[in-house]
This record gives sequence, C-alpha cells and structure tokens, in this order.
Amino acid sequence: MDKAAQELADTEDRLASDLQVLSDVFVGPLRAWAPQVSAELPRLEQTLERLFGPLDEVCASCGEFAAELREAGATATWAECFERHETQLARSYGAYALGYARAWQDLAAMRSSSVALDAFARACELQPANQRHLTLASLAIMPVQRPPRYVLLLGELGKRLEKANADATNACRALECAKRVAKAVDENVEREHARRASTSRAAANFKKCAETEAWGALNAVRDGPLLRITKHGPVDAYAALFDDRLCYGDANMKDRALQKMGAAPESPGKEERYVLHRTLKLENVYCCRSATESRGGAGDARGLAPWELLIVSAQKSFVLGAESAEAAAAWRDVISDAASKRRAALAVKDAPPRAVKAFVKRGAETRATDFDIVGLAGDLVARPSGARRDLGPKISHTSHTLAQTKTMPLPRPPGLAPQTYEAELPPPSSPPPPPRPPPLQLPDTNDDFVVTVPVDLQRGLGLELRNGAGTVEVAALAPDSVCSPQVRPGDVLLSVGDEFVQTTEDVVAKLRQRRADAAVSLRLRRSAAPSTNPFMPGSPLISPPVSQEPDAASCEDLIQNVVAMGFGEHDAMKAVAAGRRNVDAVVNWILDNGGPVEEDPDLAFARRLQAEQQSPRGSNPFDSGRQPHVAGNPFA
Amino acid sequence: MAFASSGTEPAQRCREIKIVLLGDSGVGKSSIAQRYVTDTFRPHGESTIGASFMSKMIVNNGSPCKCQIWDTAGQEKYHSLAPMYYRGAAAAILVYDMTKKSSFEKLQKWVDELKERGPEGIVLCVAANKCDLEEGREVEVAEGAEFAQKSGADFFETSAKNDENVGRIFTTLVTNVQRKSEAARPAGEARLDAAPPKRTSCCG
Repeated sequence: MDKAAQELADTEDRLASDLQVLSDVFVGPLRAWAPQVSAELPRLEQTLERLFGPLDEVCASCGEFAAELREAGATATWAECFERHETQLARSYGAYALGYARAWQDLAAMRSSSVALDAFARACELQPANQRHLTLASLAIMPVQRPPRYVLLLGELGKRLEKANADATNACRALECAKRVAKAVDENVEREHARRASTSRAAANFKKCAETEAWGALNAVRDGPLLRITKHGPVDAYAALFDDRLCYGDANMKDRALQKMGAAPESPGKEERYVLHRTLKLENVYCCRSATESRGGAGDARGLAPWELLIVSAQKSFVLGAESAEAAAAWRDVISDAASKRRAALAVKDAPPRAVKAFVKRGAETRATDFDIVGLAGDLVARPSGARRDLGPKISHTSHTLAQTKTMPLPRPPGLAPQTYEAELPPPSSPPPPPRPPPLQLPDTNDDFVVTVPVDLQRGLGLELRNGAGTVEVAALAPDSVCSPQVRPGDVLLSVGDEFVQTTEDVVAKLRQRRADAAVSLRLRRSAAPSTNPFMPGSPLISPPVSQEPDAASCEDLIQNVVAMGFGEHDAMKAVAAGRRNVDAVVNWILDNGGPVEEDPDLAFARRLQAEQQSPRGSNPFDSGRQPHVAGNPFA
Repeated sequence: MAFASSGTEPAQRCREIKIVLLGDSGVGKSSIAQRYVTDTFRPHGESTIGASFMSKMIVNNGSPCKCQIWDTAGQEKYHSLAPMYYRGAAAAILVYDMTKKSSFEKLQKWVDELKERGPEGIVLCVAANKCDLEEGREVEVAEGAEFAQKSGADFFETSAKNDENVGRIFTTLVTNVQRKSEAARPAGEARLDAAPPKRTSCCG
C-alpha cells in the first residue's frame, strides 16, 4: 500500500477516534445531564446543539474518508479520493467551524460561571474512555483545525517526496484540494462573522422590541440609513434588509423634531435611534427605479429622482431616498436580488413589477404637490396578468411636497420639476374576495346619502380620503373592507356619524375615537362629476392635495388661550388635534369629550399630532397609527 | 484573559495560562513547544499534526501554574480561523528564524493582527530561534531587540535544538501574565492564593 496514503489514513483514523471520544465522553453526558449541571438549561442545550450539532456528520465523514484513503492507496490514486471528498469535507468541517465560531465562547462563559458545569466537564476528562486525557477544548477545536492541518501535512509530504515520485504528484494534487477545502471553511466562517456583525449593527440602530430581539437568527443582507419620503416630507429612516424581510423604521420623535427645526440630530451615532415602523415580507416586495418601470417598461426620465427608489409591496408602498444615485442603485439591486431569491425559494411566481400599473404625470397641473403616489396593494404575486380592474383591494396614499423639504440634506438634481405619480391598482388576487352584499340602489343625484361602513383601523384605512379645497373627498374606498360599492371616488364626505368634518384630520380623529365601534355612518354627497376611475390612463388629473394644516403658531396660541381659561393643556391639544380651530369650538369639544387624559388611549396620538402640527410639516396621519395586518388580509 | 482557576485548594490555586506560538512556517514553533514540554528535539520532525495543545505544570514564584501551549495547526494563515487559535490566549510567543530574514519581516503582521483582533492585554514575547546556526544569521540581535521593544515584548534568542533560553521564555511570560493579573485586580480584593496574614496579637 502507498505509504503516504497510509499515513494520511492513520491521521484520519486518529481524528475519528478522538472525535468519537468527544462525542461519547463529553457531548453525550453533557446533553444527558444538562438539567442537573446547569441552571440555564435552554441556553446550554441550545449552545450544545449549535456547537456539536454537525459532530455526527464530521465523525461519519472522517471514517468514510479514512476507509476510502486506505482503499485508494492500494491503487496509488489517493489524490482522486481527496478530490471526490472535497465537497463533503468542506461542508461538514464548514458547518462545524460555523457552530464553533458561534457557540464555543458561550459554552466557555457558561462553564466559567457555573461551578457544577465546570466540575462535570473535568469529571468527563477523567473517564477511562478518554485514554489520552484530552480536554474538552482540545477535542472541540480539532475539526476546526483539521482542514488547515491537511494543508500543513500535505505540504510537508510534498517537500519530502522526490518530484518524480508518483506520491509527489498525488500529494501536490491533494494539497491543492486541501487548500480549497480550508479556504471554503474559512470563507464560511467569514460570512457568518459578517452576517452577525451586520445583524447586530442593524438591531443596535433600532429601539429594542420583541421583533428586533429575534433578528439574531436572521441573515442580514444590507442595512443603512435612508430617507423615507412621506406626505409631509422626508423622514430620517433606517432600513434593514434580511433574506426574508425588509424592515424599516423612522428616527425617534426627538430627532425628527430637531430635524424639522433644521437642527442636527442630537446624536447621529447613538444606538436605538430608530423605531421599527414596519416589516415587509420580502416575497411581496418589488423595488422599482421609477413608477413607470413598474408597468414593465424600462423606466424613464420622468420617474423618481435618481437617488430615490420605489418600494412596492402588498403591505405598503413607499419611496425611499438614498445618499446618492449610486447608493440608490445599490439598494435597488440588492433588494430586487434578495426578493427574487426569496420568491424562488418559496416557489412563488415571480411576477414582473408591471403587476402594479402606474402613470407619471408632471407639469403645471400638479401645482404645489410634487408627487403623489396612490395605490398599490393586493396580491402582487399571484395576480393573473392582463386582467384589469378599476380599483384594487387596498389603497395606500403617500404624497410629498418638495416645497416643504428645505432641510432635506440629499443632493437633488437641479431643475427637478414637481411630479405626480398615480397608480392603478392591480385586480384582485386568487382566491377572489368573498362576494359582496348586493349594492343598495341609490339615486344617482346630487342628494346627500348615508352609508354605514365598518371601521377597521388595524388593517389599515379602508377609506382613503383626499383633501380638496375646503372639503374632504372620498378618493377611493376599499371594497373589501368598506363594502360600500355605491360610494364612488370623488364623492364628498360631509360628516362622520353626527359630526361634520372639514379636514382629513377631522376624519382620522373621529375614526380613531370610534375605534371600538364596529361601524360608522358616513354622510356623503354624490359628486357631480362622472364617476370615472381617476387612476385610469387618460383620465383627468386628480387635484393634488392642498395642505390644510393649520398654522403651527395659531395652534399654539389657541392652546395657550384655552389653557389660560383654566382647561387642561392635554384636552386643549386633543381638541386641536380633533380639528377645532377656534376657542369656542375647542371649549365645546372639551366640555363634551374632556376627561382624565392620562387614561385616554388617544393621548399619545393627540400629542404626536400636536407635535407634528407645530412643525412646518405634520406627520402623515395615515401612517402614524397603522399596524401591519397580515393574518386577516385575504390578499396577503 | 485566559487566567483561570482550576484547582480546588483556595490557598494554592492552580492557574491555567493559554500561550500561543505564532510565526512563519518552519521557524521552529513546534520544536520550541516540544523542547519545553517534553525536553526533546527532532531535527526533521513532521509538521504539526498532533494534539491541539500541550500542557505543562510549573511553579512560578511559589504559585503553581498550568501552561496550555497551543501549537499552530496552520489555521493562523486563515483570516477567520486564526482568532479561534489565539482566542483567550494570555500570552503569545512570536517566533522567527534568525537565519531567514523573511520570517522576521512577517512578525509585524502578527503584532498588528493581535492588537486588532487578539485578546486585550495579551503578553508578547519575541523568540529569535535557531541561534545555534550563527554562521547563517540574517537578522542581527539589535534588530530583533528593537522590534521587540517597539512591540512591547520581551526578546530572547533561542535554540530549541540546544535548549537555549526556551525555559526562560515561558517563565518570563508566566511571570508577566501573573504580574499583569495582579495589577488588574481591584484594590481591596482578597487574594485567595495569598498566605493568610500572620496574627500579631500576643493573645492569640
């Protein structure tokens, strides 16, 4: 038999024997006696599983490799044996090294803090089966050291063999193979380090919550600060892309307030600066360069600014801004790539982004509003292509006024004209939504009429409201949640319940007050205009929203006046938040609705809204209270 | 720092010190470890394929100490695997071959890596090995000593073959580690391995 192969097989057998000792003398007893030797049982069990989970595979791999080496030695082709096992060696040792990198420190820390665990490990060392009295540390690191040892061993072997010798050729080939295995193991660990670093960094930027605590097990792809373009301007945000989800959050309120005042954030590098806002399932996410690109075209210059990217998903669609066009392109690429991989992994149809049809219009008609993205929801993945429908199952609305972005720190191409995006929603997905009740036949006149609709703020506003000139218009209704097909886009909302409404904030505040109600009655007036779908191509432009936000100074004065009259500041703020714009209205509102503000669940919202109103740009009331609702959404 | 207690007697606790050997291939790292632990030398010893580390119990300044001497398995050449090798080490011996200049020039890389990714406060020692081959010297003593001084390390010229200074390296390292450990101990903390104070009362 070939002497070199014999030596290699001997070392392999020795390793297999040592690993068997590790398994029998240490790992088995530790697993069996874990409840007795450690007070932190779940942690110990998890650590042992991480550390020694791949041990059986390594043992089996070792034994098989040694046997084949001996067999191949007889034919003097043992290098081929190395090459045949290259993948298996890289996989088994790579998996073990990964677990070792993750968990050995944990086990060492637990051992140093637990006398019982340390004593137990030392007792294991004294077992007769451990003939060489090897320690746990010495044995546990062996599989990690094995790939580089192959390189050492074969290198040394090659040096000592004559070049003409067949063994030298075998050793040379095997050495190259061993180097590849060691490199693969090294890269495997390197990737894990990078992943952990990235995940930790992403989690450290967000305020701790149950979801961020669970990020440790995820694979981070990319993370970094971005701007989220909201109705009221850009908000400092942070995005974390994992291989199965896209998470983002906004800066905390203090930093946002400072930013709105034109001041620098208090501590840009501080941890937990962001509050997790939403998590999107990656299989539902599409990232577009422009709104027109989502129609399946290549995108055009009329789309988003080069430094912006449009995120389209069934749960939420929005625009993000990056530091530069290059950074935006990098984000786009990485999001698209990760989402495609995710869809492929789940065997989900990778529908092209044209599932969402969007139309870009810009020009003088857009007035003060620069862009206005409407729509996008439903199941973007399973929707049959070619089908069309006037309105989709869910609508979201975001708009952004460039005039309000004086403090925006991003580079902006000179002469960027205002732009408006409008989107036609995709048709419903399969399975189709439940059949709606037969619509009430309402007279097609301009008379007022009342509809009763369910209120389900948890699943997002089924009602999308458009702020017109002094009135509130119903821009669209989500049929699946509102069940009021007789209400057409463009109908004017006059009151919610018994209270008249004048602004969008009025409606939101009233709906929030009625969050416990199952339904709310809306009084509407049929629009005189033909009820064409404003999202269809060729339709007249929807009037862009005009900001109805009260002047911050006047709000402050109003609150001060009411407080001077002896009313509580919180009640005053709440009344202002509810839309009262003069002292009498505020006082009446307080008399009707005032109460122990500390116990009022709306206080947080009122504070937030009031804080936003004091600034030039208010927050998007549609964003502030929305919670992702996945389980109950038939389109998700 | 790997300076753990392993004994059971409080008065004479046995401490474990992990010492790693770093340096270019063929400079004699394994020979130094072998000489120190087994007091043997194999001129054409096989490349390191043995156990992960060797142990030797010594008594230094009256304190028993178990040295875990981790010999390289070649993993130090890999960026991600190297930290697993020197993780938890209290001391490192940087070895170069005084008859091979290139092995000396690579030491700086090890110093940088240990500072960047190694354990905090690791004690260093530089060993210029193969000093028995004086006729082939390529690195002068002054060069080695200057490098060691810059790196905050002690310097020895050693010969694993002739057993010159091998024991002194380890003794010096253990002493330095113990000294560092004492210095890091918070003021007022009782030393378990110290002798109990003598009672001075005459009534005792």
